[in-house]
Amino acid sequence: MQPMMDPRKVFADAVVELARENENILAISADSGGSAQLREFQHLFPDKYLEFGLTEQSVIGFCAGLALSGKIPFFCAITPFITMRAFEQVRDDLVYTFANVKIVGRNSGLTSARLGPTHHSLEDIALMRTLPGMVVVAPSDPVGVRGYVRQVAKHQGPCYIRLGSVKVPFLYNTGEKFEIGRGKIWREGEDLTVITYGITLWYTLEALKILEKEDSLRVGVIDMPCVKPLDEELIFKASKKTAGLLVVEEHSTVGGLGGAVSEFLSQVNPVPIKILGVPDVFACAGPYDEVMAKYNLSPRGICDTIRNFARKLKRGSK
Amino acid sequence: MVKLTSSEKADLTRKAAYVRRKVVEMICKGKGGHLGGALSCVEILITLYFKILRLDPERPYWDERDRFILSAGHKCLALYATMALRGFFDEEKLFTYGSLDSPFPGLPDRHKLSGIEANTGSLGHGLAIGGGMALAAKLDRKDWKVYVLLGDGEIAEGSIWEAAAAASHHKLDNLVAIVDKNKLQIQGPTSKVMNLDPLREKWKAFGWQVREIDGHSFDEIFTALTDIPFKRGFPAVIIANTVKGKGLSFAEDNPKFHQWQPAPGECEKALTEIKRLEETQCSQ
Repeated sequence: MQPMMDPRKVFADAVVELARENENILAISADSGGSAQLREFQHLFPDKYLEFGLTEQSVIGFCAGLALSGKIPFFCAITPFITMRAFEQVRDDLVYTFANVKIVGRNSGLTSARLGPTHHSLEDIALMRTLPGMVVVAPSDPVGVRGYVRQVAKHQGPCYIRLGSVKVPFLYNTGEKFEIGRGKIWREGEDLTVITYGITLWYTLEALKILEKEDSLRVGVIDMPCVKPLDEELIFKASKKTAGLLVVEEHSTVGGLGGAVSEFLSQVNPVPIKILGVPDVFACAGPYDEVMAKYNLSPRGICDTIRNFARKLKRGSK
Repeated sequence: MVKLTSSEKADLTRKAAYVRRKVVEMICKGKGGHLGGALSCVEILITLYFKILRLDPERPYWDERDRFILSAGHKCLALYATMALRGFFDEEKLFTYGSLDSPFPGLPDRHKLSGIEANTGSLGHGLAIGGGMALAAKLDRKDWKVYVLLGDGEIAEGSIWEAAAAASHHKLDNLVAIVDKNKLQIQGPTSKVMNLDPLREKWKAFGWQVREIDGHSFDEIFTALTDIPFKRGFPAVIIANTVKGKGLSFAEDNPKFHQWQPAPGECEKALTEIKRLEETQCSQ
C-alpha cells in the first residue's frame, strides 16, 4: 500500500517534473515557497524560482507580466492571501487579461484549522468560479494532484488549483488520467448520489464503509475535482438516475460546488439537493479532525447526513 | 547626450496638438470621458511613441518590442489618438469611441485593440504587470524595456509600492516608471487628498533612481528617456511635472475636468480653442 502524501509535496514534485520538460515554467513565492515544498525546485532551478516576499497583490501583477511575455508562472501561497487579498488583481490582471498563470492555494479549506478564520478558506471556490474563463480544480488524492498540475500547465489561460495540507491516501491508480471539465464516477447508486472533491472524497468513501454495515442504501459517488468548467453532463445523468444529490465539500455552503450544481440543475432538472459544508459562519479554531467533525465533514458525519437525506427523499417520494 | 533638433520638436508639437484635438473630439462625440489626465500626459506619450519605443505598428505584439503600459488607464483617450497617429489603426476608427463594442472603451482592453499590453483602469496594477514583463526580459536576456505611466493620485495605492519594492529587489534596470504629476485627482489637489510628497525621497527609499522633469518639455522628456538606465541595476522613475487639462484654458488645473461630461456649448468652446491651438502650433 502506498503511503499517504501531503498534496503540497505532490504539487511541488509535479512542478519540478514540468520544469524539466518546459523551460518556461517558473515557481513564484510570496515568502511561501518553503511551505509549498518548493525547496527542491529552488535548488534545481535557482533562476526560475522567484521570491517576492509578502506582496501578494503585486505578485499577481508580476505573474501576469511574466505570462504575457511567454512564461508559465506557478504561484503558490496560503489560500486566503492568494484568492482573497489579491482577488481584484486575479480578476483583472489574470482572468480579464487572460494571462497564462497558475495560482495555487495551499492549506485550503480548514487544513489550517487551529489558526482560525483568517487562515481558513471557505470562500475560495465561490470567488474563483465567478470569474469568466477561470479554471478551478481541487484534486482529491495524490494522483489527482499530479494529474491536474500537468493538465493546468497544458491549458492556455488562468487556472486555480486548490490544495489542502493534510496527508491523503492514494485513491486512484497511478495511471489514472484526469481532464479539465470532467468528473469521475466512483460508484453508481440508486437512492442518492454524493458529489464531492478534495479530501471529502476519501471521507465519503470511509463514510460508505460505515454505512454499509448499518444500512442497505445504494449510494452513488462522483468525484468532481474540476469545479469549473463543470461537468454538466455527468451531473445531469446523476440527477436523472437517483432521487437526490448530496454535495459534500470542505467549503462554505454558500457558492461552492453545491452552488454550482444547484445553479445548473435548477435550470434543467430541478431535483432535491442537499449541501453538506460549513454553514454560513466563520468556522471555529481547533484540531482539524475535530473542526471537520463539528460541521459533519467527518466520515461519521457524512454517513449520518447520507442516511438522513436518503430517508427524507424516501418520505418525499411516497 | 542626444538632443532633439528644432524641426523634430516642431513636429512633436504638431503631433501633440493633434492628439489634444482628437481627445476633445472623442469626448464630444462619445458624450463624456476622462479629459484632464489625458491632456496632461500628451507630450510624454508622443515622445515615447515617436522617439523612444522600439515598435512596429504592423506587428503590435512583435517579441522584440518595448512594452508600454498605461497604468493610469483612464488617460487612454490620449493613448488611442497617439496610436492612431503612429499608424496602429485608421484614425477614423477613433470616432467609434462611446459606441457598443468599440475597440476604444473608456479603459483600454488588449482583447479589443491590438497594441494594448494590459487591461488597466483599476489603479495600482500597471507597475507590477510591467515589472513582470521586465523580469521576463531579464530571464531571457532580452534588451527590450518596459515603460509604465502612472498617475500621481494612483500611486497612493499600496500595490504600487509593493511593486516598487519588488522591482528594485530584482534589479530591474529595464523598467521605467513615469509619474504624470499633474497634482490633481477627482477630489481635489493630491497634496490634500493624500499627500505623497516628498515623492523623490519615497522612490529613492524604495531603491529607484529618480529624475524630475517638466512633463510638457519634449527636450526634458527625451533627455530623460534616452538615459535609461539612470544607473545600472536600478529601476528608473521620472517624475514629470504636468498641468491637468493642459491646452484647454477652462480645464487647466481644474479637478472638475478629470472626467468631463460636456455641458451645452462647452464642446464648441473647447473645439474652437483646441483648433486655434493646433493652428498656432502648426504654423510655427
